[in-house]
Amino acid sequence: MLWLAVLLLPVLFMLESCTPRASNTIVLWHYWEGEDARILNSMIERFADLYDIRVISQYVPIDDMETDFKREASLGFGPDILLAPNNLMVPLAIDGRLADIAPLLSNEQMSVYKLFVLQMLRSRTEGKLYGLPVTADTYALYYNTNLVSSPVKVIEDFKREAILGKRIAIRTSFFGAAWGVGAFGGEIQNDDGQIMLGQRPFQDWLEWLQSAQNFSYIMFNAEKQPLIDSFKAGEAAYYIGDSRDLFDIRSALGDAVAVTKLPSGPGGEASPYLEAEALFFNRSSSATQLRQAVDFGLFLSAGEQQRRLMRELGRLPANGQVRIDEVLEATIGGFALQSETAVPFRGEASTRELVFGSGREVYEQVLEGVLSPFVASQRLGQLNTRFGYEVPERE
Amino acid sequence: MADFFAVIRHFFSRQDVVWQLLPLLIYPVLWFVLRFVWNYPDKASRRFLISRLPKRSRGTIRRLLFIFRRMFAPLVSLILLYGVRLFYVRTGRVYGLLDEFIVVAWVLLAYRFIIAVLYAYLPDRAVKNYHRRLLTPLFILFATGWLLRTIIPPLEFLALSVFRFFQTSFTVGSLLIPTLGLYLWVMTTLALEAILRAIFARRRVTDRGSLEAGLTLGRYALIIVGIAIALRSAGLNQTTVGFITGGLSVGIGIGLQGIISNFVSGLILLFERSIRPGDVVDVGGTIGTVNKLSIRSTEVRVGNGKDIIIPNNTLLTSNVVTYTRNDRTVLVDVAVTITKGDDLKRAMEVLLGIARKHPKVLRNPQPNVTVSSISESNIKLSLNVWVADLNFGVKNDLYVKVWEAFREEKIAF
Repeated sequence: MLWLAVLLLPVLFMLESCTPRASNTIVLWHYWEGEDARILNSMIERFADLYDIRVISQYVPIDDMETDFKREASLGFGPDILLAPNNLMVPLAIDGRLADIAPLLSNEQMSVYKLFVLQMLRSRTEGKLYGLPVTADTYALYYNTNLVSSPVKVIEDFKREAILGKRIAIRTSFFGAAWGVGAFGGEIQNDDGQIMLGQRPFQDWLEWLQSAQNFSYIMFNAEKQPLIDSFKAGEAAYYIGDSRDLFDIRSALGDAVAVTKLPSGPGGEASPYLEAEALFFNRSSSATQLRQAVDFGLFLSAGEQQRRLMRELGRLPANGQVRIDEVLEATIGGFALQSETAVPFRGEASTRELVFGSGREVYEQVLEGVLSPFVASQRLGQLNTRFGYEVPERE
Repeated sequence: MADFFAVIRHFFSRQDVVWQLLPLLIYPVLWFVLRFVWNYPDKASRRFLISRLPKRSRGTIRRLLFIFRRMFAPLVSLILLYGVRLFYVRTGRVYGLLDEFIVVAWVLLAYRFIIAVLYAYLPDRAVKNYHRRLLTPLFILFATGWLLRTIIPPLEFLALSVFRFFQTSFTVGSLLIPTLGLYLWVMTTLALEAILRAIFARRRVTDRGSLEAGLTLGRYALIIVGIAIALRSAGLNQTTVGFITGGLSVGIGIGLQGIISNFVSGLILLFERSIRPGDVVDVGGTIGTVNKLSIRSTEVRVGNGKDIIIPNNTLLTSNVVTYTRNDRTVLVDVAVTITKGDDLKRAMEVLLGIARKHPKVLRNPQPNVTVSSISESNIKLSLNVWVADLNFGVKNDLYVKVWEAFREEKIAF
């Protein structure tokens, strides 16, 4: 009889849960901390007031998010909404855990988003839409207006500025330094996702970095913190960073901080990586839960919330209809301008990890002088074989 | 905690989850149907079938059938779960939760197998103890933990706050871990006691009383230590403990007076060691051997095999005659009357001879025969022998032997 009782428990639970009732709760997972989390929670409260829908928000560390969501969703559990970087979309979509929300949105609702950001969340083959963007992010050029009156426009000007005694803080992680490839006329991936780093422009970019090492006022570091500290302390006149650094920098430098486009090079405009934070939706959610979750997504991308994210957290709006005031939000304007030439990473999380890991090693070895730019370029070009692509011929 | 249940309710309202729970509705029904099907041939028919088998293999076949009968329902249910899983995979449904149930079903099968083997080869009474006290709780613990971890990470679950009491926050972990820990601690203590008892039984310890007292004291000491550790790990601070004990002391004083009195008496008896298991005592005219001295009462086995449970308080406050207080050797007095016409010396020699030949009569102190009294026609003799432990059979044996010997020697008796 004991067994009967034990086995009947889940059944009773099931029967209880099958009872029709108006469900007004959705579950959200996010990885925002500190001030970001505070703003998010206040938005959740506002949403609950307006829509009478309770959002249970749960913090999950970004490193655990993919595995945790996959595991929970495989059971039919998991949050209705996942606030995560766009690079999580591909592995989750491949695993079949994300809901296609395109049928739930009208063309008018989709038209508010910046097209290039929305494209990042769309499956390229089936046209399914797996997420709603909340913020966009890219690298741009920070400068201290107390030290710089007119920021550099072309990459060679960095050397001139260094000669004049102005420090320039440049990140040499693969992700942080990707912008230079475009400036020398190349691209990191083509439209099919093929790695194009075996080409001449990447070699030229590495050679430029090597030559810039001769200028003691140009600081290189793969880690962000020493560079940002130097900029915040007023030592560095320039710093190349993303919009997530803005809150921190502004708290140190106040109005002295300005942001503009990264300098162009002999091959054209700089092309930093473009990233987005988006809301993804659980395929296992019930129709009501999914509808309510999408409503929350639309609420977060509506003008008022986007402006709040922009003003209070310095996030670049994903909503294209949000006007960025050239005077009041000049710093955000710099990122918005840069995002037009920014490119998203194309491929799975594992591919990204491999490319970024190998890229970082190559940058380190080139800057230490143990690898020539030519060999480094060739080596990264060979990565294509790991992903089933052919190595493109060198032009 | 409220959020936890809200999230659970939320998840269980999803179709993907409900579909996975559906087989569980069928699972217990199927189980009982299968049990009915298996039990359909009545015992007599089964016995008849077994009786047709060769004698040598009957025992093994009976055992194997018993094991298979125990495993039949869970086995078929497990196969059904796999069938449902296959259907869900083919139809593109979510089946992760079903996989978790399958793991539990496998463990259930293993558990049933172990139980069945134990029952098949060991006495029922011995297995039942471990079955109910150890294996079943372990399985329930595993199944609950395994399924619960699909809903909430174990550490997160243990950290859930249940209630606050005197500035002490009680979490699921602070309640569950000490409870389970204490249960296992007590089980281990009892097992250890049983092992020690078995070891000493093999070594034939003569002072059984000291051994039993030591084991009982050890058991209670370990249990008290376990309770102290459990309370401490439950996060009870001094204020809370003070409040609880203060409150309890009122209740104890009024309602549990008798129990506490017996408890304290039990402790005194154990520490003082005035009465020990194995002692032969006379309580109010009833003679018996102390079988078990527990914290509330004492079990005395009397001659007819009955056990009398005497509250410890009675033993402490009434007059108790113990035959084995300092020494377990007992003097047995066999009174014999002969006529004046008989040969007194011969009678005394015969009595001594009988005593010396008896295996349970001690050589030292030596048995002796004394003349108790001489009347007009009779002489009363007293054969005094010492035995290692009180044994009512010895006296009986000696009388029988005296009867036989006096008849042979033609001594009037």
